[in-house]
Amino acid sequence: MANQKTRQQRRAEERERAQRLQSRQASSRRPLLMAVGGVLGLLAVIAALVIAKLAQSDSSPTPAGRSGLAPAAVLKNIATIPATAFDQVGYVSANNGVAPPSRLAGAPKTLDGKPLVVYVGADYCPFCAAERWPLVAALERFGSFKTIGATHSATNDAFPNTATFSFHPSSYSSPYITFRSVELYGNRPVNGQYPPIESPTPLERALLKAYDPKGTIPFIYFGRYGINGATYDAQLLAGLTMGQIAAAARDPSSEIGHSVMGATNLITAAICKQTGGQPAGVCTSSGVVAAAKHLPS
Amino acid sequence: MTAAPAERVRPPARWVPAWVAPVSLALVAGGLAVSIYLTITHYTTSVRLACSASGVIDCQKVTTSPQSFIAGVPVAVLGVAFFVVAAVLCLPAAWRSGEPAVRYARIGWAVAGVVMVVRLVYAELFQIDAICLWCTVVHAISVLLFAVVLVGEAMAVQADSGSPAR
Repeated sequence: MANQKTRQQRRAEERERAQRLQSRQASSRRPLLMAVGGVLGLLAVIAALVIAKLAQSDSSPTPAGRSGLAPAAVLKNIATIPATAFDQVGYVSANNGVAPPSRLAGAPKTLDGKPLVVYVGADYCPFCAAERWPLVAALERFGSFKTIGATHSATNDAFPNTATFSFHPSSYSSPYITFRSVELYGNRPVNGQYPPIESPTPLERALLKAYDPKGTIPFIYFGRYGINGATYDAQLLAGLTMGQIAAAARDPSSEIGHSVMGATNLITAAICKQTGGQPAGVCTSSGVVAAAKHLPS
Repeated sequence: MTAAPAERVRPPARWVPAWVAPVSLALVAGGLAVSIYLTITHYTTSVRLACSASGVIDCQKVTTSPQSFIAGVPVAVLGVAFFVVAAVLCLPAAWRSGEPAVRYARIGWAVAGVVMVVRLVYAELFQIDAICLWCTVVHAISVLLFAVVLVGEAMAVQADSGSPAR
């Protein structure tokens, strides 16, 4: 009798042990399955984002604005605007969208034995973004950029994210002029302030004090002439990539080409006044000669 | 007769697979290194990110975007902070610890990391419209760390019970 109870008890204990083992095995697998499920769920979320983006990318344009060095093709497009295109645009008046440089008092400065051209601006500044296009086009008529940066104006300012060149960094050489540039601030705010990235030299500081006392940027110094602010409407460049702007800037029939080449001719004419009409091929071109007639005396 | 002073009962140590702590620490080290690099390039203009700056891959565009700040703090700095804390939570002693608070902190931190990854991937794809390769490396490391933490926790066993640690 006692033995029979013991056998029954043993069987019950064995059944109980087997159930506990099964339960333990099941409970030990459950967290692992949950962990794997969690990781797979996360990967599914990321994959869904990528798929949604791929589905969307076919129909949405790429926003303007690049940083780093400017694509060589963009600089080439600006550097090789045909003389015939410049001449076709010729002089563009303020009424037609391009303001001329203003006359500056005092003797024009030179540096390294050549007339001095100074640009002061900032990466965040949308008007600087617009003005760099004709300035680079004009400078390319007197020399060449070996390298030049690419940037965009601040995303939370007027004409946000305007795609443009940046002179930080840049490398320019010319037999006719000495070009100096200062990009005062970057385009990304740190604690609500744009961080300083370049500082003016004492000479540049003196020019700013004399000709840009209000600190308006862009400020561009051409000896007898100067620019404070953008000379054409920055809105024209809204939403375009550097490549799109560069392509339009060499097309005399486009609004951008009209404004950029018109501003370039005025800037070129101002620089020609410094260089004594050198190089002659540029300074005696019909577009530059037409623009020069409208520089303030 | 005075009552015996109350003693805090230390939770039993745990057994975790041998690979978990070194793998998690290696991931943290990689993430920390890339985050420090991104932080240096954020604060200096002399060091530029070694990365394409045109087309879809554009690190500069991503790291200079408004989305590269959260509450005024650069995301790169948040990345450094994330991996420093993760390094402490992934030390072998922390993995062996039976303290529930340590386990929950490790899991919670890993989850916070991947939530941030999803938020940043969304920003890159839909707000900035550019991908930063270095950021993607950090994202991948964060996802792998999340996987290692979850699987490591799931495979951890209480030393005295033989059952999975709760």
